[in-house]
Amino acid sequence: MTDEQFLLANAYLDGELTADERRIAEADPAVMAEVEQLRGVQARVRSVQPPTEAARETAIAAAMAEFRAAPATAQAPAPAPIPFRPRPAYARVLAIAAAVVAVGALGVIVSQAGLGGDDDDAGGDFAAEEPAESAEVNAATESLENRSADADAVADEPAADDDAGDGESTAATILAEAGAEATDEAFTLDDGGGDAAEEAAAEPADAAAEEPPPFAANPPGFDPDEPITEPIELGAFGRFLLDEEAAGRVGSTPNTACPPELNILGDTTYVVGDDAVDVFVGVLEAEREVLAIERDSCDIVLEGPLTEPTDG
Amino acid sequence: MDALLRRHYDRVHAVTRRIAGGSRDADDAAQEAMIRIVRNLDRFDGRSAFGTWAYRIATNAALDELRRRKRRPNLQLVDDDDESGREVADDLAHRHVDSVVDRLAIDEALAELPEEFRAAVVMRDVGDLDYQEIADALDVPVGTVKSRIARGRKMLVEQLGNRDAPSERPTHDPPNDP
Repeated sequence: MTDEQFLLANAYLDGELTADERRIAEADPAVMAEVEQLRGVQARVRSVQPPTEAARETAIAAAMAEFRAAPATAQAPAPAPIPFRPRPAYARVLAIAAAVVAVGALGVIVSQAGLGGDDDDAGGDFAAEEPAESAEVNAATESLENRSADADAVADEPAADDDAGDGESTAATILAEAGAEATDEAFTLDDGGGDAAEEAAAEPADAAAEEPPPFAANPPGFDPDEPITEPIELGAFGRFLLDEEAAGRVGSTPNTACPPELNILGDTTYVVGDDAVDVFVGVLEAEREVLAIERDSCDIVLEGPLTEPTDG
Repeated sequence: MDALLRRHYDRVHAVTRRIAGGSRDADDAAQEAMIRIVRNLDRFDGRSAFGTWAYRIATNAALDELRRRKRRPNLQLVDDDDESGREVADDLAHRHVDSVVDRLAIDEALAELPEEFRAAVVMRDVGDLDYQEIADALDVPVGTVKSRIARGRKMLVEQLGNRDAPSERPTHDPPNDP
């Protein structure tokens, strides 16, 4: 059989011939014998085991969740029911920013009440400085709210989770600066302000208590190709995924119906006792937490502390 | 939307199953394909049938899954579709095993094909895409599609042929990619 006959047989099988070509093929017994043989192979390739009901339902549920969560440019934007929604980082940012504003406002009140009568000059100077500082804090707060809103908007787009993380990180940096200013201000007020200033100073202290924990130390001998068995290994795997992502070696986020806030970057196997569970791995960099998430239910089966950056 | 996805899911899964190989990878790729379909629905321009467009997405999702698996092969070693260890209890079970063995043989034969041949054959034989649609999807000329399908099928015949193909196998080499 020539190459031409072989291609003719394939094209005949695929219905890609003109009427004239088809007549030529049908007049050639060797071509038609080849067609029959190829037809048998084609039938076997087509004979695929059907998917499981669970796989079908999971896939369609994930797609429908995406459909419902899509922005207005797509279809009717009904809010998607999300089984698990961790408190987003920007919520904490806003809470702390609100505390900063409260401190600033109390500072103004206390300074005006405590200094206005005895020393007009001193009170005047302080009053002149104080609104300016409060304005800076308010401006920082507004900036935080705007950036957090931006980050929230971006986080709604599943493909842009990284950008959302950057937004929160930037917001956290500004927060740290604003919080430092407010803390200094509270101590200044405490020198001459009394109980009210102490109460005001307590709020930033509470806010400071919510700062993310320090990074965990790198576990010795960690191998990202081995299953996860302990939280410390999960934390190291999260760092590994972040590094791979930064190096451009991590592809698209695995398919998942889980909320995009979980920032799933990869998957692995979690071994607990005699059981091995296939899990997604979500990295909450702002919280310095790494989550092992059961693939079907999106249940968190293990949490680990994010390991310190490898470059510092 | 739900009905549309359900209508096409099984074929999408079949495409991913044949390209990605293992059933778990196929499940993942099919789910990813479903999500991409929804995500890119506004880009479907209606120039082809919806199924054609969907199966192209499924092909790409399966190829992505293959590449992802290559990066981390240790996580994909277990195929929950492997039924070769089941006990043979009766004649019906014998037939079941024959069916499973045959399926595994096809899986192995497809896995032996170069990725570009496998994609072309599966898009044609499972996805029912025509040559032009496959050429568009793979961004290659139609002649290349013809050649890849022909060469891919020849390799399949050779690998599967010992059991049920005629003894006089063609000895020619199919044409190379144009």
